[in-house]
Amino acid sequence: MSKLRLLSASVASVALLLASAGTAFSQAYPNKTVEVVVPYAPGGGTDNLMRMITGIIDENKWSPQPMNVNNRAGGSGAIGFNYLINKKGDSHVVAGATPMIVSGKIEGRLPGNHRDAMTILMIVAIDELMLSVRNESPYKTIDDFVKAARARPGQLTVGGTATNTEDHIFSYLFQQAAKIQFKYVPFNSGGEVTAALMGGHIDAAVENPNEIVAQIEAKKATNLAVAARKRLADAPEVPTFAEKGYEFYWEQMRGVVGPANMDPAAVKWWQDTLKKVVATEKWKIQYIKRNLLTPTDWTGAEANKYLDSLHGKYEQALIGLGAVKK
Amino acid sequence: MRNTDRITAALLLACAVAFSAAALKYYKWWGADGPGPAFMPFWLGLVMAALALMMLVRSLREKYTGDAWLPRGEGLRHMLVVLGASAAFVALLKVTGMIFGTALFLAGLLRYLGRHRWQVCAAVALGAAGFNWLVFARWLRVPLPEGMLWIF
Amino acid sequence: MDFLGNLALGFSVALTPFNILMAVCGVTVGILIGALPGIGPPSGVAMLLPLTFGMDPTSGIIMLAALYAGTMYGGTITAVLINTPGESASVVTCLDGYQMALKGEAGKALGIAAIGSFIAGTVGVVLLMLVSPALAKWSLSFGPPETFALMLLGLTTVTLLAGDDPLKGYISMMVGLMLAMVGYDIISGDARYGLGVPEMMDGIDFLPVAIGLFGLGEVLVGAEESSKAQMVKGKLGIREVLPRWADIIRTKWAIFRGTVMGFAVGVLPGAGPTVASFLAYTVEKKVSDHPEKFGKGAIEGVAAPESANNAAATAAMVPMLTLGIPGSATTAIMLGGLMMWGLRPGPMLFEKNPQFVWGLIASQYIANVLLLVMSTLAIPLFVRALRIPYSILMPLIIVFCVTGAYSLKNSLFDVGSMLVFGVVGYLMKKLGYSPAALVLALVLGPLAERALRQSLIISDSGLGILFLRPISAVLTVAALLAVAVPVVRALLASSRRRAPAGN
Repeated sequence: MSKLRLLSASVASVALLLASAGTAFSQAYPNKTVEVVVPYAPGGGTDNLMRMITGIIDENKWSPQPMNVNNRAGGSGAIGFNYLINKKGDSHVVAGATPMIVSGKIEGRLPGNHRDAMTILMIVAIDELMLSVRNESPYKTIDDFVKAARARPGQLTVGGTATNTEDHIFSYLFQQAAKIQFKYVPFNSGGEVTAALMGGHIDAAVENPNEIVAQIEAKKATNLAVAARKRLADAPEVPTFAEKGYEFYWEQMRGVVGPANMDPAAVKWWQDTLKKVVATEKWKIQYIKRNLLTPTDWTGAEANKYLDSLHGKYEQALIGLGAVKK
Repeated sequence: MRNTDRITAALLLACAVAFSAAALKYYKWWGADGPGPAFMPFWLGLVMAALALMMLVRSLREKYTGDAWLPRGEGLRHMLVVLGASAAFVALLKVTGMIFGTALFLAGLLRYLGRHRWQVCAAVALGAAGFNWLVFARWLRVPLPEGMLWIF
Repeated sequence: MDFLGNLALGFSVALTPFNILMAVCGVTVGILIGALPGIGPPSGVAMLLPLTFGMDPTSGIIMLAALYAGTMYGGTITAVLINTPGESASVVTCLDGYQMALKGEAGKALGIAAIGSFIAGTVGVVLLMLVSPALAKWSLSFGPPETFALMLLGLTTVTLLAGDDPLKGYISMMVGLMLAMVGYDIISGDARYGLGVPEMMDGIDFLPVAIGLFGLGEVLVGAEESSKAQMVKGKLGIREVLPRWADIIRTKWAIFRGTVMGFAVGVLPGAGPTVASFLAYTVEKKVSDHPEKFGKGAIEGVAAPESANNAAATAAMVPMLTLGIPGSATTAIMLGGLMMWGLRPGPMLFEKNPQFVWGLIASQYIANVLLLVMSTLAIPLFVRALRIPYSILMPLIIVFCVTGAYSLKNSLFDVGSMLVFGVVGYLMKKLGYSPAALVLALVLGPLAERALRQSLIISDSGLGILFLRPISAVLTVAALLAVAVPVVRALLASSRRRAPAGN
């Protein structure tokens, strides 16, 4: 009999526990530890971004609950984003977003995108892409480079990070726009690309501003052109490709994304908190300025519209590169 | 070693051929500016096949020396119990969770194989599970697998 | 440049009580993180990075650099004691370190590793201080062809890792190279041999493989010989467990060569401490006058790779500080940290922030001294762990391997992979294959393939590019000779043997 009583007591206590968990749910968000997923290895751009954001939130005590940054790297982001997508409806998981949330579905690496499987919380910055050479290079301007590429079609080498990536698409769009051909050399990381460029092993490199800025400051490398709509505020001397007559635009967005069916209150909390984050001095100076990014604070419909516009561009470029069959 | 060498050599040979064949079938031999993704695997498979063939020939020439590489009796049983318990531990991690699973695995293996007193088993199991929880879950904030039984 | 003045500045920064405390914390946490398999230097630095944001940048980097040095040593502890590499640069230490432990010389192995690390670390810092610009140039001169030639040379040393049967050694290497083909090919963008499993897209991570082959494989062998009640015999007082002067004298050249190798390889982009430790081990075996003792508990087999990985960890700072280019995952994270503190690493750093750079350099000396003192004090403690009866230690090692494989990437797939390779390791050991050759090939394989294909894209003359550039030409010829010489020698020997029979 006592066994039965013990059992019923434990059932009751479990029920109580569940009930209390239920009431906890109705409390203000976040009411338990938030898992912040970084779908890439430590040290990458997304890792830096999410550690910066959680650092600022921690510092200002904007979250009553701890934020736990977990690197779930693998499959160029597929592991981490799949993990997020599977957390449908869970408001306590967010991830650092890259254009993979759009291109992943096109390439068949993710089951869904920002519209049908994830909730975009905010696009916080745009990372521009530029073509750089070292100073020993015979090419002083973008026109020099294009001229040389026309004279020796398919001979010049341009390095970038991996294949079918933003860097690769950049080189594809540039070749299309300038009607030239060169050899794209994929490397494993931005650091390796820069090392190969500075060692003179490749003729030019596709670089994010923060990957090359140290060399620019030391006057050891030059940016030939940037694929933005207008010149960068921090590097006004670098022309855009479009103004030189090679019209194409390409960039990389950075943001924060949650799973589908997130609680509206949680979405609101993240949008408000991220708005506060991107307004801090620390963010503006130590993140945006240091990394030479273009700041944004797009949420909701605005962010979704931007991502929709990326969809068509990626689809076209990836088909052009032969990565996706249509 | 003779028989086991023959079997391994034959297995390796088959794998190597399949590896090369799969490379040619599924991946491109030559890319836009150089060797494609099939290039390296194909040659590796070929070299492996050659090495496996060499071993096969060598083992065919070798004299029979007795194939006593596999343990028998108590040794084999021990090894299989440890392996089986580890496999079960890993397979059930999603059910038991890391902390509870660790305690269960340790207590079970210590009691069954080591024949330690249950006090020893409990102390080691709880100690190690506690260490795992403290160091990995608390300090290093590793998201250890949470079990289904673990409602806390 | 006024080195002494700069160094004095550095020490005045590093020797404040708070910064010494940070260095002590860094080394302690580093040893712990290094010893836990799975959690390695990159994740350790990433996890502690947020803690440093509230601090002065100099204190922050002092802690992180001390932590990095600590992890290099921490990985050695588990490699020696339970044959389970704590982090990737300690894989090769298992070969002789664990054998020494079985002979009751665990303390000696750990001690010589600490001394080697100390010497290598200190020499590394001196080199970092004096010849950074020249080194930076050397590291940039390594393009894809040079990297490929170096990896090729590394692969030719594989027979030195293998046991008595070179054929089985080569087969083990080929298995490693074939496994290295699995995953996302960055040149074409194809996922090869992935079987549609997303976890396999990034390839087979070699650390779970190494933990399985060495750690779990050894446990399975041990389980079979279950009569093994206790691993270590003899006394375990502080006098008995520490290395003696004679040991240090005996290994001085091994430490020296390990340091030089480690530093030279460590500054190269993409190579890092793991490759350095493997190369140092094989070089040491090659030049040794008793190569047969390697793999059976040769003290030089611990001293050389342990010196090499510490020298390489210091060397990895060279491209980070002088060029602003990260040479490894760990330095990439530190670089991220530097930028968040508002510093811009690169050619201008030495001029703009001298107190930061020289503070870091000085703190490296301090970290090395701390590491030596702390490990010497802790060795008797670690060695006592081996007094635990094997029947208790064995399940604990399995738990250790499982948690370690998991925490590497928070992935259960890696745990499964560790388990599978545990069985493979057991079978390899029983059948006379070489797990070390497999792991070496798995480390070098992807680097070699990528560099070869990049070279061929860049090249206008096909494979000729390897011979047209001086550094790669020397390395390639050395690699070809390393393969050809033993074959020719074997052919000559067999023809000489056959000649009288023909008469």
